[in-house]
Amino acid sequence: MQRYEKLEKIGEGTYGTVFKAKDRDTQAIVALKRVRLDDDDEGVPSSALREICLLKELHHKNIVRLIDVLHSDRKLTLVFEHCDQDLKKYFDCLNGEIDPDVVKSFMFQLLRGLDFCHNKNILHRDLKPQNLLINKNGELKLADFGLARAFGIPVRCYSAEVVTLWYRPPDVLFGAKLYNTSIDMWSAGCIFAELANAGRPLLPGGDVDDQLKRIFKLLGTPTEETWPGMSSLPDYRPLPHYPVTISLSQLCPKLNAKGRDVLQRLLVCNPMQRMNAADAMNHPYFDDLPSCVRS
Amino acid sequence: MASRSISFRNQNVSRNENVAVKKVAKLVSGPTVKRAALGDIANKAAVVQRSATDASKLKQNDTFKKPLQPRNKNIKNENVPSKIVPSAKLEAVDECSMVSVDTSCSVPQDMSVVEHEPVKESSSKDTSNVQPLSDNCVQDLSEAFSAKCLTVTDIDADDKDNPQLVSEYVNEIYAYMRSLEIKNCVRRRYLDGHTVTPRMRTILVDWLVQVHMRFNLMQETLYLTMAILDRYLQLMPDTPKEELQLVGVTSMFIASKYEEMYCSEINDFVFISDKAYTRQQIRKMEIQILKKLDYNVSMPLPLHFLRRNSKAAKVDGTQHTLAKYLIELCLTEYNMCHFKASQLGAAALFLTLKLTCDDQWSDTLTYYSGYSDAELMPVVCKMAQVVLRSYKASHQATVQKYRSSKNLKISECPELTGPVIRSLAVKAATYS
Repeated sequence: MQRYEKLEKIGEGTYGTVFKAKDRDTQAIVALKRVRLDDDDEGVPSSALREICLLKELHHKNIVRLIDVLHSDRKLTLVFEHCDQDLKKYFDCLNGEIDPDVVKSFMFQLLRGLDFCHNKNILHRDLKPQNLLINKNGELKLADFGLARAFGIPVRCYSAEVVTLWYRPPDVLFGAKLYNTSIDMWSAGCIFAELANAGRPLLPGGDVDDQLKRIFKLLGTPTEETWPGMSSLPDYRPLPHYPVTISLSQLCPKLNAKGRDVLQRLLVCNPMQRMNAADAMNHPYFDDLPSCVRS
Repeated sequence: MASRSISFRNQNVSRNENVAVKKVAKLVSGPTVKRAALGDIANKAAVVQRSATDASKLKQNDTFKKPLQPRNKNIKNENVPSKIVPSAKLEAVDECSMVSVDTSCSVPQDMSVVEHEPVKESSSKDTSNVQPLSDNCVQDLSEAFSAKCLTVTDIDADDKDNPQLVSEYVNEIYAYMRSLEIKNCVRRRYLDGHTVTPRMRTILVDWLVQVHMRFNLMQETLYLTMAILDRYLQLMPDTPKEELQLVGVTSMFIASKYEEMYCSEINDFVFISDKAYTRQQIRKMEIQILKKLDYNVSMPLPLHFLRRNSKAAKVDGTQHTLAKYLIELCLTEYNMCHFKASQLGAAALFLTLKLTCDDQWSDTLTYYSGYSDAELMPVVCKMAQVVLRSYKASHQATVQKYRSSKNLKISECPELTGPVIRSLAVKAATYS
């Protein structure tokens, strides 16, 4: 570990501590994610193994770059490019105000990063503001691929224990194990609303039940007509029939009509009708995106 | 031969198996445990044939799984391929119809490809979906084949409502897989000059096929294990034969971490190797393999491509299973390991079509597989050779595996020894 000089602890990832450090060779600032390998454990944690393997493939400006992996007897250190902060911390210093252009730019970059993953048959499965990194120059990068995985076609069943509660789609809340790229699109919708509201979470549920009720209060309780197959999901239970009382314009007052349309198409309970990342990027909402963001 | 040594190292299994008892006793008193893996490769030919028969019995015996009880609790929710696929029920496991309603994971995953296309629909659909190649949906492959020469059906046109098929991304994803496999090639005759010989490799793989079955792992895990194993060995000419089995189990350990929902525990792998290696050794080898491969474990597998081709050909469950069997026979075969995953996935289906319905390799198949029939013929003929050899070979795990009713007893299918395959095998010589 001679090469990197540890500067400070930044936080805890899915499976290890993250430090800010300086590369003594290049003077570059990096982030080190340290994974302990104890004698009595199962070797490299599968989350770390997948994160490394997947990030090795994913070279994109909207995906955090894995620079190197260092091995020693008792630990594995992942060396990442360093970003100034995550979106959560960014929200904390906003004081409830955010520039609509920034919202648009961040959302577009999130979609572009996602589209890149989905094109390479990779699901992120843990999108949330804490896992989106922000640079001083307004770049956004997807990070923490500890829950990510590659999928085959046809998609087979994967774990239902994915995605942090507030960003978890209703199908997965009902225990669906068969999901596809739409799982990330729901989270993207939640993050979009949170961005537009300068960091106020859209659906901060307390538990799975509360989370579902919050979703259905917002969007109306789906029926077998609007969402065929819902009642056959493993953990399905009937919930009160909430009518739609709140409009998205009340919920995200700062978001323009086109933006609300994007949101409306992402926050769809039936996963089959949720918009995909490529279509979202082509939505008229992004028509006036500055070319510097698009290129 | 050591394949049997490996497969019978687990005494718990054999103890309950009358037929096996005698031989096991012999084995135990034979070479040391650690060497049993591959140390006695040359001189056990006589016992091998019997061991294969025993293996089939063991497989069906509950006691075969006993030693792994601790793990069973972990896998109860896993998508273990259902054990119910007798041919008569093939229609019943239509994944397509289950997608929206059923998420209980009981579908045998690989069958999915074939069931999306209910036979009754196919005739009417054919014409409606025939599109010129320049269509957006299929543009990714157009570099390889001139759009004007082929009549291609858009095989994803009816999948918009099936989330499992990810039709919005499917062509991009396959184009990407093709680009990945080019980066991860295994050289032809890569073991030349190595300590490890092709024969040792065959024995190891045959054993790994059995371990894979016993652990109830996903099919992808087996293919990925082989991909990791060959790529690692290719880079490590000095791998001692004593270490080969360690490389094998560790490859499977890594593959299951990458692929499985609930990974097998390290102790399962220690156990299955009859404690020839310690946890520490497996952990150390894990890091060594990952380092050597530079964590390049995301590899496209023959099965991925086969599924796409089976869909394009609208084959039934039996044909798809036959094609899968053909690919798996090639896993054990050193002479086939340098073929790309997409080549094996295409050749296996081509051979299947030749054996079962004398079908041509259509434009649609050329387009979606990325190979013309002329390009595939050399691989198809070699594959035919592999099949004919497999019945006489000492390594029988795959043949046995596909003798089960779950696998439609496909290895017993008469076409596999018939005149068509024989004439193809004869042709192989003209290609080499």
